Amino acid sequence: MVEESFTVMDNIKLCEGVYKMTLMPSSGYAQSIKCGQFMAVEVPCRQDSLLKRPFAIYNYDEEKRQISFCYKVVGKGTEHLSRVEKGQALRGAYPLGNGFKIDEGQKRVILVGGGVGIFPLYSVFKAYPDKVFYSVMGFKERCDVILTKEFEERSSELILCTEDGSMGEAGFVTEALRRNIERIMPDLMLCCGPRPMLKALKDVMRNYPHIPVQVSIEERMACGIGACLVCACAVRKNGKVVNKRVCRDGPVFSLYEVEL
Amino acid sequence: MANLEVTFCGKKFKNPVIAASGTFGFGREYAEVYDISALGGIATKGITLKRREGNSPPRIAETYGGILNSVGLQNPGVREFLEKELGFLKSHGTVVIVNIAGSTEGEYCEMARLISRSEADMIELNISCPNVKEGGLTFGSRPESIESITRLVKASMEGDMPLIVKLSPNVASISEVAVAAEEGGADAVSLINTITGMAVDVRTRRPVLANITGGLSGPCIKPIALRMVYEAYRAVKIPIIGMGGIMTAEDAVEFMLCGASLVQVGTANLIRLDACKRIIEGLEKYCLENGIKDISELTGSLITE
Ligand SMILES: Cc1cc2nc3c(=O)[nH]c(=O)nc-3n(C[C@H](O)[C@H](O)[C@H](O)COP(=O)(O)OP(=O)(O)OC[C@H]3O[C@@H](n4cnc5c(N)ncnc54)[C@H](O)[C@@H]3O)c2cc1C
Ligand SMILES: Cc1cc2nc3c(=O)[nH]c(=O)nc-3n(C[C@H](O)[C@H](O)[C@H](O)COP(=O)(O)O)c2cc1C
Ligand code: FES
Repeated sequence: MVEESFTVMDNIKLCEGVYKMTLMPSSGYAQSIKCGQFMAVEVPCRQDSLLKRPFAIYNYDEEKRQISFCYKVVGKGTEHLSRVEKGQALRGAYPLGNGFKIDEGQKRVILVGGGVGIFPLYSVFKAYPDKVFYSVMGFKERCDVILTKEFEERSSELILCTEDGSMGEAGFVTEALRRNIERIMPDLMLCCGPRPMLKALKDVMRNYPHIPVQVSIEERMACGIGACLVCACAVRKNGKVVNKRVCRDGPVFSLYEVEL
Repeated sequence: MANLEVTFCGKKFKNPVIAASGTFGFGREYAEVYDISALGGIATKGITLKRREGNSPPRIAETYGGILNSVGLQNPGVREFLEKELGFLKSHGTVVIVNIAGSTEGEYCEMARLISRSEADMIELNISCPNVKEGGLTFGSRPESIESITRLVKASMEGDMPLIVKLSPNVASISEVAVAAEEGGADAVSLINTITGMAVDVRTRRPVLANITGGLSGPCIKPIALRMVYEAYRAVKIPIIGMGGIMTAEDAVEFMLCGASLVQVGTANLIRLDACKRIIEGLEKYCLENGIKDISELTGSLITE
């Protein structure tokens, strides 16, 4: 884990309001990154956005020493980041958090992502090239649909859905999952998405308690390294509810343990 | 080379920079980022007698030039702290200040007694936490209760461990509360804790923090903190630790000029992980450039006429 300066190699628009930024650490030294980890990026020169913004590491290229993350413009920090230009310098800390972990015996892995929740999932393809992946991706409408090609190329099957039915299957991603899970019967599920989706997912998975589900959780952060305790997530372990740090103990938790 | 060392309540600090309570955990995470033995001292996350889970999230909001937090004293409790965390902190050869918060006088006294028997260096009495309902600020807002809790805690401590009382800015007169701490027997005062505030999300029409209110910290509070350190310095004889919005070495010097012997750096650590280290380096440079041989010369040397 380091905090250092990066050079912006690219900051491209994926669709309206969603961008992909590629960074190269100025130190020239690339940290080793685990899939599902994240980085915290400083918003340059904004007195109303002093804290770094956490983003899942989307891809990392050890040879080129480049890291990329994808982000949706939702507020002032991301709005400002979207206007950052190639060649500019940005500060950030990485790699942070625990990441996804796939055990040896887990061969068939299903990825379930809702909206910008698909971003943390992409890095598992590269980290676990020997697994068989199934991807279920959900978006609001056609114009939000992104990165399907990237996921399709690396999955043995891709199920795409939009809430309004303008592309792929119609309805929520969790409903598409409900229709397909018995057929796929994965050994493991990795997921990320908004809270309502995670709640619905918990409900779908009630019938399949033997399938472990790892979920990447989002919470507002400050230090990003586990020291300030602002990023609490209630986790139930052995019947007791304790607050865990999303930035350090997470962002990946067992879906069955997090209190949503 | 300028001398950055400061002797404060009989304890030797390598330099006047202390990592502020609540922003530095128990040092473990920052130790992975840089060598924390460079610090003058470390003030721990606020410790309570029993383990606390803290408030519900969101616990953080941003405002112009600052942040609001409502962590609510999440900590493992004093016994687990002494067993599992203190040894690690002490192994870095930096002054360890244990920040404590209670909900009753009895809790404060029991913790102080336990810590005074440990290898910690100092206790910082947090009677100014705005984020817990019981205790905290209720002890820290009235001069009479500050004097009485300070006296009780001091009496329950064994040995000669110095006691720092951390003052709240959420009071009518900072000089009065500083004097109350001094009369209660405090060896030093530290100020300021966060200023109670709130943030609103106009899209959802809800407060940003689940706790509704939180403690404001960061650069936006510096002018208030400086004024309070300046007033406290003129009111008491015991030494002062100044804090509130310190981001750079220049900010730290401002606090020292207003009367602080040492400074704490809080929010800056969250923004730049190596903030304390950079401030220490900056202080060294400031002393060299300004012909200051001993950094303690700065304390209270503000020219006002
Ligand atoms: C571990 C982790 C990984 C993330 N990965 C991605 C990613 O790959 N791509 C992506 O687009 N977003 C990701 N996010 C969310 C992203 O951090 C926020 O969208 C971003 O910080 C908002 O910044 P802002 O200044 O634009 O918004 P602000 O103006 O600060 O707030 C606007 C809105 O964004 C929400 N928000 C603010 N901070 C966070 C936060 N830390 N987590 C969740 N929501 C927040 C708030 O609810 C608020 O309504 C991730 C969050 C976490 C915790
Ligand atoms: C996230 C956070 C947690 C804090 N927790 C504590 C605490 O447990 N005990 C305490 O005395 N002060 C606590 N504080 C207050 C700081 O120690 C400090 O007094 C205050 O933030 C002002 O300094 P700053 O502007 O440099 O942050 C906390 C501050 C922040 C930002
Ligand atoms: S953001 Fe500081 S502990 Fe997680």
